[in-house]
Amino acid sequence: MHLARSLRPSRWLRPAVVAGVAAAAVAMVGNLTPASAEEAPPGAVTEEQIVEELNDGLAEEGLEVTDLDAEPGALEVAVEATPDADSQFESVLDLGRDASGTIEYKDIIDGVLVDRVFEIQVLALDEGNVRFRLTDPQTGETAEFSGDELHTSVPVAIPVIFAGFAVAEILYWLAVGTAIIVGTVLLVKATTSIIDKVKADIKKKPDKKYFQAAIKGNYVFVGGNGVTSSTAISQGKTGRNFYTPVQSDAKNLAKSVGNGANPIGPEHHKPSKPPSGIWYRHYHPSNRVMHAFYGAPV
Amino acid sequence: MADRMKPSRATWCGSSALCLVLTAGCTATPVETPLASRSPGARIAVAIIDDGSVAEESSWLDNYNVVQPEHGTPSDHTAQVVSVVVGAGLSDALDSDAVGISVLPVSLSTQNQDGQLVARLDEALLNGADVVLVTVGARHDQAGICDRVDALAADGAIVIAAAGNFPSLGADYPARCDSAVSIGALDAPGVFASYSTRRQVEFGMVVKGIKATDLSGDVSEPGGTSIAAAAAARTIIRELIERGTLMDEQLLLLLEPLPNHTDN
Repeated sequence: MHLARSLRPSRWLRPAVVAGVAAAAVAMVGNLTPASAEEAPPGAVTEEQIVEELNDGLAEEGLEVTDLDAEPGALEVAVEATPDADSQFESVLDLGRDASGTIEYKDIIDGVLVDRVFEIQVLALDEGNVRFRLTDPQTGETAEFSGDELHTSVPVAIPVIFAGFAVAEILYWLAVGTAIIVGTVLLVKATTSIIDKVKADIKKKPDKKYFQAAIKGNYVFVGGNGVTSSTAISQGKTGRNFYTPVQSDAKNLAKSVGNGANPIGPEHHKPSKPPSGIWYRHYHPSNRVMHAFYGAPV
Repeated sequence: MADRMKPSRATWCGSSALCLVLTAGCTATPVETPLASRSPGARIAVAIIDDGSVAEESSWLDNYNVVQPEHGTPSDHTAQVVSVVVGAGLSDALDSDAVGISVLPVSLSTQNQDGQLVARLDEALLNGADVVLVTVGARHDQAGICDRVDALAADGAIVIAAAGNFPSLGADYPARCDSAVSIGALDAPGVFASYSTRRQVEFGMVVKGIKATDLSGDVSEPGGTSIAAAAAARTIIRELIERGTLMDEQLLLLLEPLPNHTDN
């Protein structure tokens, strides 16, 4: 028996994602260039690559990403069982900029099909440190999960607990390379589409053109709401990194954080170790307390 | 990435480090390496890693030399697992002269739990365990769990691990480790229990009808892959008592094959 995939029928298997993954696979095997790469800067991280990375990890669990929609600081990931997995698991994780949101969850628990929505608050999201809290709004039950927890191998039939283990898998693989939390802000890997969305946000609110940024490995992550120049300056002085699309804005931020001293840069570091990542060009204030990233990935 | 599958134990070479070395020179004459063995007359050292130690006063544990470490607290789950291993209340309960059981507890209420599991696996190795039963599981191997399982296997121990109770996910660690024998739960031969993990599972055990005793002495049929793994451990220990060695292919005879499932 296989139930219809009914959680989000219109969003499953978004053609662009599937086509992108397929194109990337062709490129790896046949040394061809995927069509999307012609528009992206050399070495840019694309959403399709992120999906591929996630699926590399989730495959061992018999799960695969069917849709991913990332914005600066927000993330929606649809995951379901692979066709060979003999499972009816489907899930849509929807996280907002404060790392809270919902998880739609559908699975067989103790022989019964459960189709529910739980509230989620992610408390930590970094490789090796995943913590989150799930709440069942129907029962009020809350369960907190941590990446290093063990469990006894007894059957669990409490939906919020059962769902938690599946959510932990999704978050774990997101934490490996797609998203992190700094403070309470969700930051996602700065793909080309993320940068496009940052620009779109700034078009709507031109005075809020600085977005929180972080470095993990060779990658830049971007998230949160856009903030004004004055907010970015005060937070930059505490060491917080920012991204903004325009070079002169990044330079001005670094200069202001450095109390008017000439900023250092622009700098661009090539990724130091494999897997090859991408650094954005950036300025430092004179005391190098932060990075002011700008532009397209290089 | 292709789905990772555990190597089949139906192959004569099995999974021990020694055998891997011999594989390079394998031609016509297979060299069989025991999966586990014991010296004639020696007690079989069994280490059970679970979430708690076992109360000494549990009457069914009389004469079973269950180690009571200073750390850890009594756990009904551990008591049930140990009771299945020893065959508490059964006429063919394991002979305490032949088997020594140590319970190595991990605390599920403190930090660094996967680190504790690794420490317990190290302890089992240090103490020369012949059979290691793990009935707690981790979802990822960030602490080197499989490295320890490999070391135990290379030392001649057989590591039996509960696969976990998440049918939509892969097996827990250490069940997912290549050198571990991962056990799922069956309702009947050829029928997975609804809760049992199916992926990266090698063998099953029918858990219906397996009775377990908790710390209060209450007897029930709790089910779960812990109980399946405990029953598998008991079967393997009995084989070791009777034959002195355990070969890979014997597992195929002793334990239940899995239902026809594409992920196995």
